This record gives sequence, C-alpha cells and structure tokens, in this order.
Amino acid sequence: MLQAIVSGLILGSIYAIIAQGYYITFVTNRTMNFGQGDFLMLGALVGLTTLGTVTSAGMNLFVSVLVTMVVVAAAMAMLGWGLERGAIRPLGHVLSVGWILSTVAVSLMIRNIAMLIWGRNVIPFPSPFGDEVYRFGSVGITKHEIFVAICAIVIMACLFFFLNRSLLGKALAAVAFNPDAASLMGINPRRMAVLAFALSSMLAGVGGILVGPITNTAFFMGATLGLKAFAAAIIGGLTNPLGILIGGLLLGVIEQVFSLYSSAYKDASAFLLILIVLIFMPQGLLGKKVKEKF
Amino acid sequence: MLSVNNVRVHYGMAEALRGVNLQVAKGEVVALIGRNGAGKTTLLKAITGLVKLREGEIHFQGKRISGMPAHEIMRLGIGHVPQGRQVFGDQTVEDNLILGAYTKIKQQPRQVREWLEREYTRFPRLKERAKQMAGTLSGGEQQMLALSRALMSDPELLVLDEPSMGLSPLYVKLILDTVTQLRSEGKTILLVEQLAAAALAISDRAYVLSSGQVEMSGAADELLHDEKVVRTYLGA
Repeated sequence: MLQAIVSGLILGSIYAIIAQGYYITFVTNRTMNFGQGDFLMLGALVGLTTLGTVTSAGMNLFVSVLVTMVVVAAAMAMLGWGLERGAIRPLGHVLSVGWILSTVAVSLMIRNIAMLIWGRNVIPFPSPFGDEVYRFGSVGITKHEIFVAICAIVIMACLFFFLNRSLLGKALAAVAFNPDAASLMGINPRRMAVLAFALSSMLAGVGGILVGPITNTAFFMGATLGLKAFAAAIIGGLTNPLGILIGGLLLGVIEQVFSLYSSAYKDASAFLLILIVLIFMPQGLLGKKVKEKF
Repeated sequence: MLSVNNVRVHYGMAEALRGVNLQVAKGEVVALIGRNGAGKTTLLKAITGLVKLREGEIHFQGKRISGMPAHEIMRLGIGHVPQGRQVFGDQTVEDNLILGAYTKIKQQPRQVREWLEREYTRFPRLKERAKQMAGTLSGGEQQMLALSRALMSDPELLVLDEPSMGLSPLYVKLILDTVTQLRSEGKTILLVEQLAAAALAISDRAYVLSSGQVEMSGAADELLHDEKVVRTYLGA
C-alpha cells in the first residue's frame, strides 16, 4: 500500500508537470494544446535519442542528462512557438474554437512522423541512472524515481517563482486577466501567447524524459498520458497551478492504489475521479471564480 | 500634440464614429462629453489602438499612430485609463502599479521606484493596501489604482475614460481634483465624462460628441453657458 502511494506520488508529479502546460496556455489566451500528450511523446523520443548520442560520445552521466534536458526543452520550445504561430493564431479570426481541431491535427501529424522516424515498436528507455533500488522499510524507490521527484520539485519551484514573482510572470497573468488592459501597459499579448506555448511544450518535453523510463516509449504513448494530465488539470482546477499539482498527485496515487487490486481498474479509477470532481466541484478542487467590480 | 483626422470606426455594420476630427495641444485638458453610445469610448480606444480605424488618421507628436498596435502606441507616451477601471483583480495593488511601468522597469528601475513612491504619496490609500488583491478594493480605490497604474509609465498624454463612473460624490471629487493637479504637473489630458458640468469646469476646451460625430466644440467655459449644451447635457 505504502509502495503504491509512493509510486503514485512519483507518477502524479509527472502528470502535474505536463498539466501545468495546459494551465499556462489556458490562462494566457484561453487555448490549450490538445496534442500535449504527443508533444510529450516527442520529448521522450528526442530525449532518448539525444541521451544515446551523448552518452556514446562518452560524456559523464549528469552532463549528458543535463544536455538531454536542454536539447529537448529547446526543441520543444521551438515546436510550441511554431504551433502557436502556425496552428493557433491564424485560426483565431476565423473560428474561435478552431484551435481544438488544429492542435489535434498537429498532434496526429507528430504522432505519424514519429512513427516513421522511430518505428512502430515500443522502445525501451533505460534510465540513465540504472535500475538500482533503494529500500526504505517496505518501500522500494528506484534511482530514477528519486530523479523524477527532484526534477518535479525543482520544476514546480521554478514555475511558481516565474508565475508569481517575475515581471514576465506578472505580465502573463495580466494578459490572462484582461488582454486589452495588458496591452495598455505596453505588454504584447501575442508575444505572451507564444511564450505560453513555448513554455507549455517545454514542460511536455521534460515530462516525456521523466516518464520515459517508467512507461517505456513508443509513438502511441502520448494519447493516454496527455489525457491523464488533462484530467489532473481539470481535477485541480484549470486556473490554479497549486490545484493542478494536487490534482496530479491525487490522480497518480489513486491510480496506483487501485491497480493494487486489479490493473484493469487503473484507468477506470482515474476517470471515475474526474467524473466525481466534475459533478460536485465543476471548477476543480482549487479553481476559483474572480468577480469584477463595477 | 494629438490630432485626430476624419476618423471612422465600424463595429460590424454599425458605424460608431463617423468622421471625427479632434485636436489636443500640449498642456491642455480637453473634455469629451456626450450621451451613452455617442462614441466617446470608441474614440479613446481608436486613439490608443484598441479598435481599428476604417478610415482617417491619428497623429501623436507628429508621428502617425493609427494602425499601430496598442502596446506600441503606449510606448510613445499615451496612458489610457480604461472605462470600468480594468485593474488586474487577481494581482496585488503593488503588482498592478509595477505592471503599469512594464515598459520602463528594465531600463530605469530607480526611476520606477520613485514613481511608485510618487503614486503612493498621491493616493496614500494605495500604499495602505499595497499587498491586497486589486479585486478586493472598492470602486473608488480601484479608480485610484487605475489612474496611478497609467501614470507609472510617466505618459505625456493621459486619456481618461469616465473616471467618475459608479463612484460616490466624494470619490468623484477626489478623482477630478487629481486631474486638475495632474494638469498643473504638466500632463496633457483628454477626459471623457458623463458628468458634463464637472468635466467642463476643469477643462480648457471641450468637444461634444453625438452619434459618432462632433456636434460642437469650443472653450469649456463657453460651452458651459451654451444654451443647447445646458439643455441637453447639463439637465438645467
């Protein structure tokens, strides 16, 4: 049981990282990348390839992990930028919900291109840290899981700092709250939209590297993970990053605990949780309504 | 300083502005009065780039600004206090003010600190509530915040859209007194107001807007005694 909770927290923190990507773009310009899962898959596969290349070039472990992360983050940021410029902004004038279809379309393209490049088979993604397991009483934690936990904490801390303390984060929040008023402050709402998508895609990419060794990688891995992360975002409340973190962790734990009894219930439990939250708390656990005063 | 020439704005099929001409000289306070739906707010939005012109040109300090996006026009030195205040309700008062200086804070952090102090002196209430969420302020406090936020970029021209809307008489007086004070600080001000008498009393010149056209214009004290203006807008 304890083991399930610990693995659940680890898995959940990955969901939370990916889900923050939905949050960032949703609050800045009311759009989301429904291909977040496939961006994650691309992050995992690019990460796997990069890691293979740099380790065979003989770099040491930490440098190569760092290089991989930077390469993936940069590549995904570019992709996010392209997504916003190519598939979201041009449609804004034509159809306000065009982004729903266009992001799905882009994700299908990415999925198929990835299949052409990396093939149809599941590719094992060995953790760069090996399979060694630490034992704490009855609980076993792999080195990779510790790495995930550290990464999750660092990423969340950076994200919270960025969103709440930095000028750019405040500007992002201002655009989210009122784009017209923000532009009167000299903030370029379009640049903020690009920034949001770049960030969101970076989070998906890094999430891919983290989740790869846990689930293994394949061109089709994105759909479920993207959906789970979306669920985490909805459970926590799409407009609250802290809620999303809690939503992700909760989802991860519930999944793992249910799979103790039967692995068939694993996915069912996750989606049952969404149903319950949506019925009783449609804004999510920590989502809030802000009223404007006139 | 600001010149608006034959500006037309459409919302879909509806014509909101039908060939408006307006001039604002440096150091002036110019009032823009008129009924609801006359096009006052639309004209201000056209000036600061929030709505697109169908026709006409707008120049600011000799530079053509019509067609530029709002965030670039703002950088040239026009501060717009929008209708309904539109403060960032989910951020603190201080963060709102800092966002007001978004374009300056990187280059002149020390200057921005000074301006922040200046605004806190202007409205001590804002200092008391610096750490409070802007959405929790009263309407009058939000108006102070919106005004200070616009002043944080030290604009040459200040465009005010109905600063008295929904405020108690005391706050109306405070805000209008502040406008007078800003004028003595050397700001140029374009003021949209429903309270025509109060607006005319603190302005040099005024334009009366009706159905998207300038119906009358002239010195404020003349308009204040113009029979037609008195009858239509001052309710006497």
